[in-house]
Amino acid sequence: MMSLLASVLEATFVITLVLVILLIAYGLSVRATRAVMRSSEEKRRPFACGELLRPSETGVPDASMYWAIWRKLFRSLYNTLRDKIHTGVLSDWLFWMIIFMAVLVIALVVMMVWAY
Amino acid sequence: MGLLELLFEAVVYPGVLFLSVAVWLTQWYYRKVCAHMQNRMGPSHTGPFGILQPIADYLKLFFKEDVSTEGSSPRLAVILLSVAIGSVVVLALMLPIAPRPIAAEYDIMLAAYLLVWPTIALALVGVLTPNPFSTIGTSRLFSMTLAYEVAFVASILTPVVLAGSLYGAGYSLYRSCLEAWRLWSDPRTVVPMALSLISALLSLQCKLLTKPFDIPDAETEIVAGPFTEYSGFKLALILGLHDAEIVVGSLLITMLFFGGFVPFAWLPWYVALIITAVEYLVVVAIITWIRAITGRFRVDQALVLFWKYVLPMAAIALIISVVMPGIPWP
Repeated sequence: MMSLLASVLEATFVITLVLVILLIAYGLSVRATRAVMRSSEEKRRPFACGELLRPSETGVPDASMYWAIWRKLFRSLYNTLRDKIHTGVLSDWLFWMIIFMAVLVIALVVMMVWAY
Repeated sequence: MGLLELLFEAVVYPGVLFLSVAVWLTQWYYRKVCAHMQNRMGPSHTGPFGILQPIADYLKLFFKEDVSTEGSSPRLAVILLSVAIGSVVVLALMLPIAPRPIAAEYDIMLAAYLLVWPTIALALVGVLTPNPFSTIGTSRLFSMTLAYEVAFVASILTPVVLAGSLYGAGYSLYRSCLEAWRLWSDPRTVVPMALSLISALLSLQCKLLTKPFDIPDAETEIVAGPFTEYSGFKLALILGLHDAEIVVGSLLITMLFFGGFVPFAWLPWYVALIITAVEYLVVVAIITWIRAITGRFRVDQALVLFWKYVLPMAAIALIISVVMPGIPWP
């Protein structure tokens, strides 16, 4: 068997070759379709549901979509934390915070011991 | 490997030409089998039994006007899709179907990288067009990628790790394909192999964006998701990438989990070839069957399925495959 570097180089060569072949095919396709193309600016504008969109409306922030999905996915966990653990009693909150701080301190000590 | 040999393999067999023919026949088989499962006829007018229909579809797209929306990057999309198709071609060259495969110790890292490239390319292609449907589809694709890509790579790693530690395959995809079929006869490795096969099939289904995981391009909700603004040659590239993924993904599972022709190497070559083709068609039929009998999941349902069931299944198989060779066995 060859070395890993040689196989990576071969893979890169093959990918470049396929890229060149497909770019040539793209050029041929553009040349073949030039005869049937009708110049019109309207068909190049972004439409959605028949309405012309302003540039600001053409996208939804990716971050918003991402977090919306994750919040939905972990909603049951969040509801459990909110409804079962948060009772509204002050002593429960204090107990929760002390346990949380204790876990943080233990994690910190473990990390320091591991680091040194 | 010499340059001429590599050139032949990349362009003719098992590269671009072979994959084009395989894509054509597999797409016809895929559509025909799915249609019969759903009590339809499928392609039937173009050529005998409709076998020329996939070629007609691609030719139509090749000669169709390619409209690019204002603010999009059409040339970058062509480059990204071509590189992704190139990575699928390289994966085909890494399998034992190649006369002189691209193989090295630890080349499974290269294979894992190449497996992820098509998904990244499809997601980036979606980002390149200014359309809310594209953005929503792309964000769905990104979210799902985090779930199924990890599961797919973990399930591919299991036979590679087992073949590496038990048969000295050196974490090479090619050598693992030659050895991994023997793992089914070892009682210690049957369970991780079965778990990783199930998770690989489900992850491949999700990777191909077919039902029930066609969430990013759900046509009844968001038109075509990341591919809404694409037409002509670029749409042909997107469909070509999808079909090439079906071919190479199914070949990968056939060769890595069942060995393809390797267990039957003592038979005449044409019998071994027929057996390999039958194994491949069975894997494609399983993918088609899941597609035909299921409806689309919501994105959160698909994520829960992968994070709660498929990924732990693949992870358990991988953990067993790492730990098991160290346990003494009579």
